[in-house]
Formats: sequence, C-alpha cells, structure tokens
Amino acid sequence: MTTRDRREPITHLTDLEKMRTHDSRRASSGPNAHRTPGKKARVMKRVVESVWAQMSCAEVLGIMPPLARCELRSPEQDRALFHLASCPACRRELAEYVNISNAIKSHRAALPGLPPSAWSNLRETMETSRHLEEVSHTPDRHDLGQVIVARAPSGHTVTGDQVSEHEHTDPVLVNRFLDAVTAALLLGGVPPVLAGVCRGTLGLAISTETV
Amino acid sequence: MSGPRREDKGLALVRAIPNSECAMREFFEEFGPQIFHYALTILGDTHAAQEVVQETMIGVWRGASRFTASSSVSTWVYSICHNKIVDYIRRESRHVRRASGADLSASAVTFENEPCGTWSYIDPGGDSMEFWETFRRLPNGQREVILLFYDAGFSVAEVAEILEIPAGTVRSRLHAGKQRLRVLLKGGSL
Repeated sequence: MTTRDRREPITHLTDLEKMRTHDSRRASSGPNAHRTPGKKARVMKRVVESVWAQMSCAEVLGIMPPLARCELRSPEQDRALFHLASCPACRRELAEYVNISNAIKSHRAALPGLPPSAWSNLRETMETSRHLEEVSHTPDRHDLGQVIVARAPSGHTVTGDQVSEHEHTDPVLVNRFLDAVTAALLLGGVPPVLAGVCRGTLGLAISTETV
Repeated sequence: MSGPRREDKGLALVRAIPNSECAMREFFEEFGPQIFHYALTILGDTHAAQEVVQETMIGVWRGASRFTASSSVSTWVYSICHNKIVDYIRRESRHVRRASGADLSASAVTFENEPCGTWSYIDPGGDSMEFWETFRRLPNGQREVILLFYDAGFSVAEVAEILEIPAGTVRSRLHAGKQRLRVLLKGGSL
C-alpha cells in the first residue's frame, strides 16, 4: 500500500489497478527489491487486506442497488469495489443488476401513469377525514340534530333529510347516503371509513355542521 | 434526483406535512407516481392501484407527525404501500369467496399465494405487453422483492424491513424470481 492510499478513498476500480501497478514497480525497482517484506510489513498487509476484503458476496449483493447508483460512501464503497476487483461472480451480478433494472424501467414507461385527478381526489378525502375527525371529537356526536351536509363535485347540497338540487342530483344515491350517515350516527358516530364508502359508492364528499 | 438528496427532501416534507397542505402535495408529487407504478405492477389494475395510492397517502398524512426517522422516508412510504396492497388483495379475495359461496374460514388468505389482479386495465402493447404478462406470472412475493430491489433500488436489508421478512428470505426470493424470469423470458432482454 502507498501513502496515497491512506489519505484518499478509492473511488474507481481503475484506482486499484493503478495502485497495484505502482506497488509492483516500486517493489521490483527500489533499493529493497531483493529483500522479502519484513514481519511488520507482512502483518500490516494482512490486516489491511482482511479489513478491506472481508465484505462477502452476500454483503455485496445486499448493497447492489446503491452500489450501482454510486451512492455508497467510504469506506463501504471502497470495500465493495475491493471485493468486486477480485470476484468475477459479483461483477457478473452487478452487470445483471443493471440489465434487469434498465429492462424494468424501460417497460414501465409503457404503463399508464397516475391520473391528473389523483391529487384532487386525495385532497377531498383529506378534507372529509379532517371534518369527520372533528365530529368524532364533539361531545354531542350522537345528536341526530347535527346537520349532515353532503357536497357532490357538481355542487349538490344535502341538508338533513332535505335535498336541494342544484344540478343533476340522483335522489336514490342521496337517500342511500343519508341512510348510511344516519345509521352510522345511531351506532355512535361517523367512522372515518364512511368517507371512503361515500366517495366510492356514491361519489359524494361528506362533511358535518353542528346546529 | 439522487438518493440522499431525495431522502433529505422527503424528510423535510414529512416534517412539514402536519401543518402544510403544500408539503403534502409536494410529497404526493414526489412519491405518488412511483408507488402508483409499484401497486400497478403488483395488482395489474389501475383503479386498484389508485385506491392503494390514496390509502397510502392518507396513511402518510396521518402518520407524519409520528414519523421518527428510524427508517428512511422511502422505506416508510413503501412499507405503508405494501400493507395497503396486502389489505386490498385480502379484501378482494374475501369478496370473491363470499360471492362464490366458498367457506371463508376454510383456508387462510395469504398474500404470497393469492392470485393477483386481472391485469385487464393494462394494455402497454408491443414488447412491454409480453414483459408484463411474463412478470405477472411470478408469485406476489417474488414480484415484490424484484420490484423493490431492481426497480425502486432498495438494498436487501431495506426490502426486508419493508416486507417485514428476514433478509435471507429476500435473497432467496430474489434468486428464485430471477431464475423464473430468465426462463419465462427465454431469448428476451434479460
């Protein structure tokens, strides 16, 4: 190992190759070229190599996604690259990871996307849920005197058992809705799940107002 | 956006969600499309996937104030999404069994062996049709680990955390799923 190695992390496989070339040149041309490494040097080499090379194939597989995206940090990245430099099976695994990943991404592009109305639907559910939570915390939530107000996207308004039709209110749907809300109140409050039911089966968003 | 930066942004948004609808919207725009595709490729039905996305986002909205950052934001969101998908499949399966008069207690409905959606709403056409047709023939458990590992880019440990299964199970499902995909797509791009 050179002094450069102790200061800077290895960031590319080519760095490893350069280091090896540099080390072998120095060993063959330096003043101690004829000498075998001392005991201390051998121990140091073994320690360094054991630390850097102890990443197993299973460990490398485990971090393959961030490794392929170059998102690992030192020393994990250095250890993974060190392992890859000497493990053809993991290099094949990495290449295969990139292939499968790219194949899924390219075929995924042919699938339909999230519809533009998704956010407005979510926002409506959040609003409804917020109102229902407020009602469930109201002491007189069992009181049927509460006025149930339902607002359909087209602007229909439902108040208690009165239905004022602004546009195309379907009375069957409105009655089913009122039945559901009344039953829920009799059972002890409007459960949050009712919001989803109302939206899914009736196409209505509900909120409540205290008299 | 790269992983770490995306995580930072996700965490900042989660912190802001309890007091800001704008943060919720931004979070939805950041994570909504990818969890939609995740749910879609598991369920094969756009309506079902939309429902799962909506339920997941409601889960995020309600749980944001309790999020402790003990896991990454992405892991947390996918974990909620996975649970909603499992709930959806169980719910649908119960409907089907009830409608057909089958005994609901006769056998446990498990996510891994339950057949997936009809895929009737997906019509990508061309090579992609063949790819997704092949993909849907994998068991749910294998499909999930393949999507989370190869597409969403989670590590084995993170996939294990999302699905609440041991890392060894993730590795074996990855291996089995990959082998099956290879066989199914013989001569294909894999």
